[in-house]
Amino acid sequence: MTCALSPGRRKRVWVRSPEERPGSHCRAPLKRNREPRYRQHSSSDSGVADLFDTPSPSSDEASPGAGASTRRAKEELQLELSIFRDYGQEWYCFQKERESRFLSPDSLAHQPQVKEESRCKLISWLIPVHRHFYLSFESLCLAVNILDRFLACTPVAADCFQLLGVTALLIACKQVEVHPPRVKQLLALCCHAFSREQLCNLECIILLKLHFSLGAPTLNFFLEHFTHLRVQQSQACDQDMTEAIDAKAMARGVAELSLADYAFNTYPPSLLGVCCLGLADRMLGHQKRLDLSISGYLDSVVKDCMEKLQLLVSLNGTSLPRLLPLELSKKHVKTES
Amino acid sequence: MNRMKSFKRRFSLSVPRTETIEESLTEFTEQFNQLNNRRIDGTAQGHLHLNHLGRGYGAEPSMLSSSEGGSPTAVRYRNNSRRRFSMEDLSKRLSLPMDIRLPQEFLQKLQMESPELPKPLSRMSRRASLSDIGFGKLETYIKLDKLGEGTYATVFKGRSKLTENLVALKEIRLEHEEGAPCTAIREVSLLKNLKHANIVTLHDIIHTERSLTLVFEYLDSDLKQYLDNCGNLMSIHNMKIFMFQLLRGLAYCHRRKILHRDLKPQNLLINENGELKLADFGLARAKSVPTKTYSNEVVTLWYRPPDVLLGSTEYSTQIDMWGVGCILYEMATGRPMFPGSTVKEELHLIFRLLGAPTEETWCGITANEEFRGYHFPQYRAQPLINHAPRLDIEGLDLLTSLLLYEAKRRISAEAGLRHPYFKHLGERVHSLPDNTSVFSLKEVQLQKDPGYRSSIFHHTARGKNRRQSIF
Repeated sequence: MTCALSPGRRKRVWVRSPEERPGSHCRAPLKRNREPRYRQHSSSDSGVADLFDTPSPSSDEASPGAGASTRRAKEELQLELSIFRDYGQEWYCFQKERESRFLSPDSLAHQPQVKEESRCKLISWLIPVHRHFYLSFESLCLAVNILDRFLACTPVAADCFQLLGVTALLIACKQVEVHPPRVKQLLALCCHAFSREQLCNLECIILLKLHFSLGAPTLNFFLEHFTHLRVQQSQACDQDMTEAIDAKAMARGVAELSLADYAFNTYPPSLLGVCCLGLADRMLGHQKRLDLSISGYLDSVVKDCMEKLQLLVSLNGTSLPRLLPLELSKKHVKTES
Repeated sequence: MNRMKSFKRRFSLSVPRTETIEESLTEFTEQFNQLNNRRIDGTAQGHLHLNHLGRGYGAEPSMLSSSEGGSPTAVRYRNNSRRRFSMEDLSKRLSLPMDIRLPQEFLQKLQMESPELPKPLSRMSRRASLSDIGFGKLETYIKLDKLGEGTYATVFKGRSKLTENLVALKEIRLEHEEGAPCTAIREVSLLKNLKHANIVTLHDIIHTERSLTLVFEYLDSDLKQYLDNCGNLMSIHNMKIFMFQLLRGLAYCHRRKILHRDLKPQNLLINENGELKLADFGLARAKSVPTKTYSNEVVTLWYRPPDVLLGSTEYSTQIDMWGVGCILYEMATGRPMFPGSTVKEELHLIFRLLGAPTEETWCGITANEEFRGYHFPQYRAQPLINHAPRLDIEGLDLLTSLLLYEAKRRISAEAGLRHPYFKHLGERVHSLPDNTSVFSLKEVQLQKDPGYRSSIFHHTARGKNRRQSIF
């Protein structure tokens, strides 16, 4: 295993994608970014592309029987809809009312060492990590939220930024996953640069700093909500349902890209959710698109956010297919060409 | 001494009832943290460095607050106005509850500082005094009996020096291989946001280096014990009131997309007034229900729906509704409905009573590999009235709509509250504010349970044998 030296004395390896074979690569250490940044170019910061060495596990699942996964997705959706009828609107109001309290648009404003680029790298690394452990998208969203809110209130040194990333992921998983990853596994992913004690201590600090307020409304929640709403309104026509499922899967890919990009921190998850779905519809060339006005946002606001997302997608053209299930990435390529 | 008395009196007079300690604490913590942050920002100390992480986190303030971060803004000191330090002022600003009692040390401190020297009550001094009176501190609570112990937590009965109220102290050890236990993280983050008359209140969180102590309101008994105490023969009227409270608490959770997942009589706490509260949210929100805790203690299967027993990981609010049905049956009959000790036995008991599932009662079941593997006999459904003769027609109807095999067909908590079974309770129970007990209405009153042994209503439930579950 090759390790690189960080600006400090500590021996550190920064990014190691979980699927990578040991010894195959050597990553550059996290470097402090001293160059001035330009706001309007910030979408291009997403260095997601080079971090995806293998396609997502979900694409392997999908490959044997293409119809099977869609059928399963439809059954799941049917069940979810029955509960959605009872509670969907109340859940939405509850989460929507809370979302502003969990936003941290300027989480890096007071960080002496952590910059946009390192945040992007960290999250771009957390994305394959969460896939590697078969974690839900909800966990990833929560982890990013914990990370940002902690950054907003605590200056973090560059040398423990990666530790912060895995610890935030661990806390998120402990809330929503049946089997959260083991501390040992997480430490191994960081090339044992940190000790168990350090991770556990940081976990406590995060919990206290955030006063145990961990259940933020997530992008995942809003993607699901708008998808349910759409299927409910379309009166369960089979074609519409397929489109809704595809759009959601595509939107999730776009959403993952947006999580890694600091520029999108200013947008509330409900807005990002509806825009990701809208963009996904457009990319897949769907006939019956999601009515974006259901989000309650002004057209101009939606348009602005969607344009930014589109720019983000076009800048990350090569990495997006890796974020999508196999069938969908084929479709995506087809519609592109 | 006299002064102390008048202090206390004035205290209780001017304090509004509605404000909770937590609300004032929140504000306090915010201010405190902002000051702290400012101080820290100035020096390099506050920066998170690896070498700090190795050493510990003793210096962190440990207080309960629901503030979500918040950007640092300047705190203004009110030095300009030279105001007299008055007790009313203090009590108004502290906004403590009526029954609060301040510890001796604090009163002395107040007397030393106060009326003779008129000095401005700055925001800072006011804030600091809140932590002085003992929130977030272990010394504030006296440990009494131990109520139960598990691998991750020990529960004590305790008393708060501030209010003289009994509390339940759940002490969670943090030093584990995997860091803070999942159950603790879930329980705290969820309960902080749940404020309802039928959900147990989390008063305070105390963080020390090695443990996290959750301070809950203390309830004397739980439904399991209540049933034991009344010889498993409960008044059918009380049953209805308990059932209504259970559904009310659950509907509140479900409206927030929080599933309890571990409903059982031991988790439904009951106080001497008959108020029922949901407790133990350790399993809430996990994607599926484990059969064993990390310490390999078996989680009871008795209240688990058949779809989950057959391995479904689909999770929805309806998962809790099956358990509600089992609890209704248990109240009506005095015995658990499906006391299976293995998954197979549990399913067997269910199918023997409610009939083996068919495509009609459970769409898609015949294709379920797991189900086919068991080769259950073709039982026919038995009439529930033979097993629960004390339930009236409406009660049986509610029970039937709770115990449906297909999750999506089960009645929801919200709809359950509107079931004709509860029509005797009147209309007003439906428009109560969240944090108001149903017993605030005069038409809702408990009756004496026919099987109750003692002549005094409900008084024996205390003691060491009280079962408060930990996981």
